[in-house]
Amino acid sequence: MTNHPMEPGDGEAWSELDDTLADGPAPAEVPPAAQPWLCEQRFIHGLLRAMQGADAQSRESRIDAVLERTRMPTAATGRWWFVAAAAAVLAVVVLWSLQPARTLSAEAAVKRAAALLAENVDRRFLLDVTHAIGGGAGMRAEFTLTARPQRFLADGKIARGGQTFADFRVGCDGERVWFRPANGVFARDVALADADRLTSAFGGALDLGYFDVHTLLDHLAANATLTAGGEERGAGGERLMRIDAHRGEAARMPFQDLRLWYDLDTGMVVRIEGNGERRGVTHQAVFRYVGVVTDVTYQRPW
Amino acid sequence: MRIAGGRCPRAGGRDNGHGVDSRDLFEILVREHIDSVRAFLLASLRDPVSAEDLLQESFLVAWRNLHRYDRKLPFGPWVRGIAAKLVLNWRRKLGRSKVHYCDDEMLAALDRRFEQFASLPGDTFDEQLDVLRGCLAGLTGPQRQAIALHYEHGLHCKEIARRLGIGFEAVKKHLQRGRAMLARCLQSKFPEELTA
Repeated sequence: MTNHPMEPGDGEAWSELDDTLADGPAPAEVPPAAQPWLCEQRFIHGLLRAMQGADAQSRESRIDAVLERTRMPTAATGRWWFVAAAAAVLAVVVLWSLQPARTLSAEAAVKRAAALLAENVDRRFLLDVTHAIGGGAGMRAEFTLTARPQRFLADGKIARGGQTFADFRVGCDGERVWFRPANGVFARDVALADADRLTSAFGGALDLGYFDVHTLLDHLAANATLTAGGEERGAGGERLMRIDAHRGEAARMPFQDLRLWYDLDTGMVVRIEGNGERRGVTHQAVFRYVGVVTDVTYQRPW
Repeated sequence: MRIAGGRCPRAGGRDNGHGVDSRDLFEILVREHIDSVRAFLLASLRDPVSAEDLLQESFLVAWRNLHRYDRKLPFGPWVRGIAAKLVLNWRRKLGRSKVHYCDDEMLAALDRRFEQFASLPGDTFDEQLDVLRGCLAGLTGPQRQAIALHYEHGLHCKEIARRLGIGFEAVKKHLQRGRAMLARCLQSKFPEELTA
C-alpha cells in the first residue's frame, strides 16, 4: 500500500476521477497526483467485486471453463489442407471483425442485463401489449409491472374485442398467483403451478410470460441470434446500444424479432420492442424500464 | 494449498516420472490463483463480462506459455502479468473508450497491491478476503449501507440515492470514503516489511 496520507477527506479533490462507478464519470486522463488515490479506490473496488460470485458453484464453473479451454486443440498439423482451412477461418474472422456489428458484444450486453435482473431487487417497467387479428379488432393491454426473480406485481387493464376488463392487479409471491379487479369482486388465487387455470379465464389475453423480463433476456442470450446495432442517445442523454434479436418459431412468447436498447453505463436494457406473427395474429409489445423501487408487497392483498 | 515457487511442468506433457499429469498440476495452479486474478481484472476493467472473458484468456495464455515460465518465481505475479497485457491489448483494440481504462502504470500499481494482499494470512484468496470482511465492520453505517447496496445488490449510485433518500453525490462520497477506510484498514494488516 502506498504511504501517502489518506484521511477521510483526502480523496475529495479527485472524486470526479473515480471511474469505478458505472453511472459516474470515466476520465480518459488521470493527473499523476491523483493516481495513488484512484489506484487504491480501484484495488478495493476489485476486492469488493470479487467477493460477489465467490460462491463455490460460480467458482467451479469458472475453473471448469478455464480447464475446458486448455483441452481444446490449438496446434496446426503439417497438412496443407489444415493450413488452408486455418487461412480461410482467419479471413472470415478478419472480415467479421471489420463489420460494424459485433455479435459477441450484443451477447455480453444481454447476459449482463439478465444478470442484473437476476438480482433480488424490485424493478419497475411499463408494458404495452397489442394482439391483432388480420388488422381487425384484437386485444390491447397496458401494465405497470414491478418484478424481481420469481415475483411480480402488475397493475393494468385489458381491452379485448368489444369487452373491456376494468382495472385490475395481478401478482405472484413465488408460490401463488393471484388476481383482483379494482372493485375487489371475484378476486381469486391459485398455486403457481396452476397459473394457466387463472389466465385461461381471459381467453389467452393475459400471458404471465410478459411479466418475466429476466427469463426473456436469459432466453435471448441463450437462444436468439443477437446483432449489435449502432449507438444512440436516450432522452436523458444516456448512451444506448441497439441490439436486434431474432428467435426461432419455438419461442414461448410470440415474438420472432425483438429490438433492445442497452444502457452502456448502467448495464440495463431500458427498452424492448417485440414484433411477431403467429397463426394469423400479429403481436406487438413494448417494455420500458422505469427503475428500482422499494417497499413492494407481492402477497395477495386479502 | 499453495505451491511454493509455482512448480510448473511443460504444457501437455507428463511430469518427471512421478506420473502426475501436467494438467493436474495446472489445475491446482488455476484453483490457487483464479480468484486473485479475477479480482485484479475486476479492479482493472469496468465491464464484468469482459473481466470474465479475460480471466479465461489469461489462464489459456499461461497454459500455452508454461515453458516460458521461470519456476523459481511465484506463479501469481506471472499470470497477473499476462492478465495485465491482455487488458492493455483489449483497451488498444477498443480505443480509449469509456468502458475500459487503465494504463501500464496503473496496472503495475494495482499488481503491487495484489502482491501485498497475497501476504495476508490465509491459505486461500477467500480466507484472505476475511481480513477485508473484518475491516467492513469499522465503516460508518451509511458507508457500509452504500457499499452493501452497490456491491452485494448491484445497485448504481442513482438507485442507491433513491433508496436511501440522499443525493447522488452523497452516495459517491460514502462509497469513496468507505473504500479509502478499507484501504487503510488493510494496510495496517500487511506485514511491516511490505509497507515500509
